[in-house]
Amino acid sequence: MNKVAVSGLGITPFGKHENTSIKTLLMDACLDALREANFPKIDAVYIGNIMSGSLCNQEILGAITVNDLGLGSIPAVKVEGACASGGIAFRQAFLMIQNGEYENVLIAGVEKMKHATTEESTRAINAAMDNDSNEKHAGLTFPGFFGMLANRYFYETGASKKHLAMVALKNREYAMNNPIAQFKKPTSLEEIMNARIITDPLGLFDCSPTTDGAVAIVLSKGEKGVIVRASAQASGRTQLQEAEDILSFPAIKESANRAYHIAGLGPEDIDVVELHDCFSMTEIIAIEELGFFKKGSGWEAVELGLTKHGGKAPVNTSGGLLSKGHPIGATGLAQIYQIVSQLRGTSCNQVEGANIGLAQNLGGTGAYSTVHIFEGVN
Amino acid sequence: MELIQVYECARCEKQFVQRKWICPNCKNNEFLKKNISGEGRVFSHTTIHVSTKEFSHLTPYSVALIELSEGLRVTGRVTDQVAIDDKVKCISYFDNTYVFAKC
Repeated sequence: MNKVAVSGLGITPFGKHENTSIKTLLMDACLDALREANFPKIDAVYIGNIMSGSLCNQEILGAITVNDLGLGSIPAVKVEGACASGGIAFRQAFLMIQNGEYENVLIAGVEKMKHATTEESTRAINAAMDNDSNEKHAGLTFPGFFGMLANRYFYETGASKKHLAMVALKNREYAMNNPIAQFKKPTSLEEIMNARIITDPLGLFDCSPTTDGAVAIVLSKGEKGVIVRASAQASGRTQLQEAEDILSFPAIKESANRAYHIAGLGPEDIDVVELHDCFSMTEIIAIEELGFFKKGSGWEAVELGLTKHGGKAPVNTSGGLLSKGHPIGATGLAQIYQIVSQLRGTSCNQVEGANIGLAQNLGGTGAYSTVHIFEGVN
Repeated sequence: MELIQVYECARCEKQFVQRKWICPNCKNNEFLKKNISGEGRVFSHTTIHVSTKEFSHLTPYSVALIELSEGLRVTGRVTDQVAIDDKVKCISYFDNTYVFAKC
C-alpha cells in the first residue's frame, strides 16, 4: 500500500464573508493549496459540505471545482456526513491514494452560513438529526442534545458550568493567536459564565458559531513531509433516546481505537490534538473517549490545565470550533490544517517539537466520527 | 396517563421507541407494536431558548430524556421545570410528540 503525504494547504479567514459567494470561498482555498503543492496533476476532487443546497441553493460543488480550476474531466464527489463531512472526504481521498487508484487528490471543505437567520441555520443544522422521530417532534435541537448531556454529566461527576467555561476560555485564548480565527477578542470566565443561555446549561460561549469559510488540502503519494499514519471512521447513534450511555460517544471511541491500532500508537504518543468541540461539553467527553483521560474525569483534566501547553497534550491550539469558527463542511479539514501546521513547525500556538498529531471530527449527535493520525517525517 | 407505543422484536423482545427494520440485537426483522406504561423518571433535561420557527411559539420550552419504569428511555417535552430523578408521567401523545408532567 502507498504512503500518503500532505503536499498542499489552503484556508480562507473564518467569519463573515458578506460579499463573497460560496464558490469563491471554495476556489480561493483550493488555489492556495494547489499553489503550495506546486500544481500537481490532480486525479480527483472530494468536497465536504452539508448545507450549500439548503442555505445557498448551490449543489454540484465538485464539478464547479473541477471546471473553474481547469482540472479537465476528472471525477469529483461531494461528501455529506454532517459536521464530519470534511473528515470523511479526507478519508475517501486518502484511501484512494493508499490503494493506488490516484496519485494526487484535491480535498476541500466549505460552508456559507452567516447570511441565514438563526432560525434558518438552526433548522439546517437540525438536518443532522433523525427528523423522522419523536425526538425531533419534541423540539429537541442540536444544541439541546448537548445541553442534556451536560446536565447529566454534571449530575454524575463533580463538574459544573465553570468547567465548560474553562474549555471555552482556553480555546478563545488559542484563537487570539490564530490569524484566520473568527473570534479573537479577549474574554473571561465571568463573561463566559454570564452570557445568555442558548439551551440550559449551555450559554453563547459554550456553542460553536455559524461561520463562512473554506479549507483545501492536496494529498499525494509520498513518504516525506507530514504523512498520514492512520485513517479511521466509525458510525454511532442518531438518537439520544437510543444511547446506552449518553455520556459516551461510541463512534469517537471506536474510530480512535481503530486509528491507534493502525498506527501502532496510543494516546500517550500524541503531541498535539484537534478535536470536535462543537460545544464545550463535547470537548470534555472527547478527551475521555480518545483515551487521554479516564471516563468521567475530563473536567478535572481541564481544571488542572492538562489540555493546554505544558499539560498532557494541547487540545485545539487553533481555537477549536468554539473560537476559530465552525464552517461545518470545512471543519474536519481545518482541524487537519492545524495539525499539519503543528507538525511542520509553522503553526500558531506552536507546540515545541510536535511530531505526532491527531485530528478527530464528529458528525451529528455522535452519528459519525473520523480520526486521523499524522507524523512529521524529515 | 398516556401509554408509550414501542416496537418489540418478535424474537429477542428488545424494545425500541422508534421503528427498526432489522433488530440490532438479534438481526430479526419482525417487530410487534406494544404499549407500555408512560411513568418514569427524568434522566436528563434542558430548557431550549433558541429554537426553529416551528417551535418559536413555545420558546423557551423544556425537553427531557425520560427513563421509563421498564428501563426504556424516551425523549419528550415536559410541561414544568424538572430536575434529574423527578418522577414524571406521560400526559399526552399527539403528532408524534410525547408530553410529560411531574407526578
